[in-house]
Amino acid sequence: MFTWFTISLRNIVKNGRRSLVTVLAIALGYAAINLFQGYVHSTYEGLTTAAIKGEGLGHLTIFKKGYLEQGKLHPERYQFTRDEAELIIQVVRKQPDVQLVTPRLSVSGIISNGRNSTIFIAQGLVPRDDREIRGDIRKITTFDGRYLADNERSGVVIGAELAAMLDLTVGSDAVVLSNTYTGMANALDAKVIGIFDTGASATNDKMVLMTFRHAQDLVDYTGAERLVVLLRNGKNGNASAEAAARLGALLAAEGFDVEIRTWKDLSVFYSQVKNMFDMIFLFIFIIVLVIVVMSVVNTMSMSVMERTREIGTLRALGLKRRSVKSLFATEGALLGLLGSGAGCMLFFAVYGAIAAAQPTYIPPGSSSPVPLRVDLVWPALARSIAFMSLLSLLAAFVPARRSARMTVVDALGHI
Amino acid sequence: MNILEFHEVTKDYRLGETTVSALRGVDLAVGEGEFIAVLGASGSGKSTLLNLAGAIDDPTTGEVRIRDRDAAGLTDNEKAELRSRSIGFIFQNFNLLSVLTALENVMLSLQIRGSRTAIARQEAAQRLDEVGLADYLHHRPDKLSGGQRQRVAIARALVTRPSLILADEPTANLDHVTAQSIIDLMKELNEKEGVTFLFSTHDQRLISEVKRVVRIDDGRIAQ
Repeated sequence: MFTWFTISLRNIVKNGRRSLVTVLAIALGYAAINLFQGYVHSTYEGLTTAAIKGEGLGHLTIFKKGYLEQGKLHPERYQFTRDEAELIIQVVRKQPDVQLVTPRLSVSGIISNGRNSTIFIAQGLVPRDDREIRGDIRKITTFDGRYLADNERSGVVIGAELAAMLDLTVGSDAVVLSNTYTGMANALDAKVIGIFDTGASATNDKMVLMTFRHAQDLVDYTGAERLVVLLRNGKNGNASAEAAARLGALLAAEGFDVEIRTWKDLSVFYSQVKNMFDMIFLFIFIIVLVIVVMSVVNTMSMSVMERTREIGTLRALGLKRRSVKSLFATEGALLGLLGSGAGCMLFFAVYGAIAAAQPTYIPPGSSSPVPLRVDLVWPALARSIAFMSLLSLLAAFVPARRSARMTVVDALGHI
Repeated sequence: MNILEFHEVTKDYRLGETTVSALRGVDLAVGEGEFIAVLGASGSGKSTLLNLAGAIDDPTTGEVRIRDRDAAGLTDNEKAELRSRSIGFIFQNFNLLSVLTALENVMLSLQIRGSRTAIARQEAAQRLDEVGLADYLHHRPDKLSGGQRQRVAIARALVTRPSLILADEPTANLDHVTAQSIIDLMKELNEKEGVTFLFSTHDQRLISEVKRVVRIDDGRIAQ
């Protein structure tokens, strides 16, 4: 084996220019795949955090059965009563992997500064629980003022563009108007205590955060629309799905007719972005795959052609066909390995440059610039080395097979 | 005992629409320890005969027996095994691997047979010493003269201790002095170690040194 390795390596060095082109093609492919993968990984991590913490979705959301289809039309029928909500919370809270379960109530209506008004969508939440889900909101977005306190009565936190639209600042008074579940109009005072950037232009001009009690008063309902669950170490999508299935079965056994959605099910933006990036990654991957395979096949074909007499000599000396294949396959794998090594260096050079320059960009649908980050995904970097080497080995196998099938006499007589 | 036998061997090649008969019913027996020159004009069938003797080609009809085994009846792997254990090849153009040193080229024959690297290195160095190249172990072929290259090729052929060495025009690409030294070396190995040599040549000096001459004319043994 050592001999074949030596022969392969020396032939690569001997055909330096040709090998260099192939190694560079593999290196560029390796770096491109891993830089994009690192960027995508960073984006997914960011989107995951944005969904679970930023949007406050938690890991799981428990709805009353049928709410997702009929809940907007008949809220009182498809939302939890106070008793139901309390009983479910008691059951769920006992589960060892559950860190927190908290009620939520969505409200929409009109918000006014006394002169002008516009629509709003609000989340009624328990401030203490929301702080546990989001962490300190002031650390994940631009924030002015203070966040909701547990004993807050009329204080609200509103989106930055909504504040600008109504000329509201921290300390301003406003009025929120909505329909109760019985169809009556209801207006309540609201005091702007905080202004924040939601991160999405679609919600930045209408988002309002208020206490759960404040939202209940606005729609005159004592129950909860949904229950949000935060899992311990449950960021992983599969863990969330497994927990959802387990909790669903548990609640069904307790006689509750509910349906549970994971944060991935509810964060449409995450799914859309992930689908788009997955498709782009596949596209890039296929291009790289074709370039690497063609490059290695070309190099190895030329090598086989030039070394036909050498193959004949080796066969005459007693080398078996499969060993001839191994010889060229080893050379292909070595090209892959060298290319991956060079690609690794290129990756770290670009990675370092990005980390130093810290460029930012505004993604579609975002209201503020985000940093361009590339994550170091060690398993992916290692997997790519193995993949590139294997791919090069397989690509070399085609010309290697051709060379092994040649008769010894024909190979020796080759000029 | 014969280590090589040809029985009514023919070999035809297809060249487009034409069939060329390289050998036409050859009968030949080569005994152990013989030193045989195969003579003939270009295209007479010398190389074809050597190819068949080395189990790197199959006859169209007839039988080639190497160490009492019908070569045509062997699988590809069995032929490779036979070549690796019993036959050594010396080529007109030396056919050394350019990326390997003289020592590595000679070691290769043993490594193909599965010998351990340390043993292969020791035996290869010894063979190179015997052919007068002890000081050139780590030279690559492009740093060696034609004669030195052919000596490396001879060492490579000998290192597996084969019972038969086939040489196709071994002195054709060498100058007078070098050719003579190669002839002397081959003869010495034949006499001292009893290695059987079967080689094609045009070289009159080589012919005068051999014990037996086989002449081929138009695919037939003439004498």
